[in-house]
Amino acid sequence: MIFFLDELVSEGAAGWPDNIAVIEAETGNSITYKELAKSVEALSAQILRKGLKKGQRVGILSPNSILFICVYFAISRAGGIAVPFNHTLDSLDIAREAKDCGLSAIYAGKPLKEKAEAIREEVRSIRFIIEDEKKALQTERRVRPKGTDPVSIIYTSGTTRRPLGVMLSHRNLISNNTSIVKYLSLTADDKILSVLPFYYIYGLSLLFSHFLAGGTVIIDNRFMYPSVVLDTINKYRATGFAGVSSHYAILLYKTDFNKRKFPTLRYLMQAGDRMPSHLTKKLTETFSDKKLYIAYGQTEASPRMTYLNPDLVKVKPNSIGRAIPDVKIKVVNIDGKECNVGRKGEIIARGENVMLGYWNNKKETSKTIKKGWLYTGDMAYRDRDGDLFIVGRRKNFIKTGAHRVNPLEIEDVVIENNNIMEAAVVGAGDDILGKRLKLFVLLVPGKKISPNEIIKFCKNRLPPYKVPSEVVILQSMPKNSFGKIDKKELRIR
Amino acid sequence: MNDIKSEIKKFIIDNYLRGAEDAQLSYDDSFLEKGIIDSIGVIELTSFIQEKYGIKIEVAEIIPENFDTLNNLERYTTKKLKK
Repeated sequence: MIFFLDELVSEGAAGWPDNIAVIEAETGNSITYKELAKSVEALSAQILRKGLKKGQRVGILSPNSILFICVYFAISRAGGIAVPFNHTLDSLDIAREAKDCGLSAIYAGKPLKEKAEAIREEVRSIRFIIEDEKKALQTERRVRPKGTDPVSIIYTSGTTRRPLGVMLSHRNLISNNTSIVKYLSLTADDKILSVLPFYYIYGLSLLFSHFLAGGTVIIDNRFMYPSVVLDTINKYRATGFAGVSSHYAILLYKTDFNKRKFPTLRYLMQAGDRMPSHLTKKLTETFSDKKLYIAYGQTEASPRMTYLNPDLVKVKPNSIGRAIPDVKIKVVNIDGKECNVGRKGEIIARGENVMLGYWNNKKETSKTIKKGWLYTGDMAYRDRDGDLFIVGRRKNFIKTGAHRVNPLEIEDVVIENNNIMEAAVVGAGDDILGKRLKLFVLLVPGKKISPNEIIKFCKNRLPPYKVPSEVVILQSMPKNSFGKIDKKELRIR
Repeated sequence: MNDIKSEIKKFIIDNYLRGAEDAQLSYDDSFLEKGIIDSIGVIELTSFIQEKYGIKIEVAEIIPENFDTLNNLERYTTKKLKK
């Protein structure tokens, strides 16, 4: 029985010492469970020697790599809380999150040392930088946390303007990944190709679930060259591939994915956003010999909540299926009462996978977790068989590619421009991204600015994935009866 | 030939490196290692080069050896233009 997250590695070393735990496709480097356990012990000893106390937060700024994994588990072993950052963000954006959680230390992968120094200058609480540890050091006694102690904070877009850190415990992550192992029937022979970054919970869940089964995680960060990644599947004999729907759109429409053969591949998994049914159909037609798992989750649920039985994908391509093992799901109306078949309501979830709460933010936590139930903000209905279909979001996020974007954040930036009076961002349909960002603006009377100039203004102030791809200048902004911008109206324009 | 490099450099700075100075992207910087462009970005960059230089880029040619630095891109584009 595993109680602490780092035991995924130590128990892996005990059960499958010589199994390959991780392969880096780009370099060809690999590490066995036994070797990984030694590296984790050495790094954990270094972290403790530098004075990390139980519960202190340690940032990780690195693309997916063997070292990322060593550091993550070493932080857990040392009793700390790992905070993987989106390393593609600007150092100031990362510093905002680092300040929010009072970061004590940071690890930076090779190309990101300068960025880590820039963050350190902004965040006074950072006392030390973790170095790559090559030498086998004497193992120091680990700090024993409780299973309910937080082991990771994952930052996500909130409804507020401040960063929202989802606190996940050892128990949250172990429980959810035990369920994932069950429904995917993972074994020590499984090898997942991970193109998803570990700073997102979806990427981390691939890592944890395969470690739990004694399987192998193949890291390939080169999805910008999708054909290279397809070569990796066959080169390392991957049995699984996981992506968001834009990964599949790129593979199906921009590569020879559908002409190739992947003899070792057992399944494909899609989660993280809603897959358009034309993609689901094309995938099932092209790869009729592979299982396609459509799954649903969110960071606050560690992340997995439901999956669709692969046998039903052709019949119900728009469904997210039913609750995974050990998770309870209900669809409830505004009064909290369970909805009848076919009636729309909010998805709520309960189980050991439900987060501890948002870091240092009781207000948002109490809005999201009520009487032990996680209120997801996703609206759905259940069919007669009990399978769920999402119809929209109660909370106003936009999923674009693998990112969850809060439109408020973009609108705030846009109205800083002196020529713009009002701004509203909505998600518009996009074959590749699922949703792209469309910005509507109302100009200050007498002022002029072009859509291209507005996009340029955004580019200078926002990370690329938050920059709207289309700008529409309106003569008047539609408003509802409360005087608020009518986004429903804008979505159909 | 410097034109190709500087035109592509301008496209990358304008689209993926908000507010960066010209000097912050060198001709040998790996887009992959520095996390400059993601998968969607490469598709946009491919379209830009195809339209700008009137060449047809095959899927199998979108690999790091051709695309991962400004120097690689210039070499690749020049070779395609000669064909």
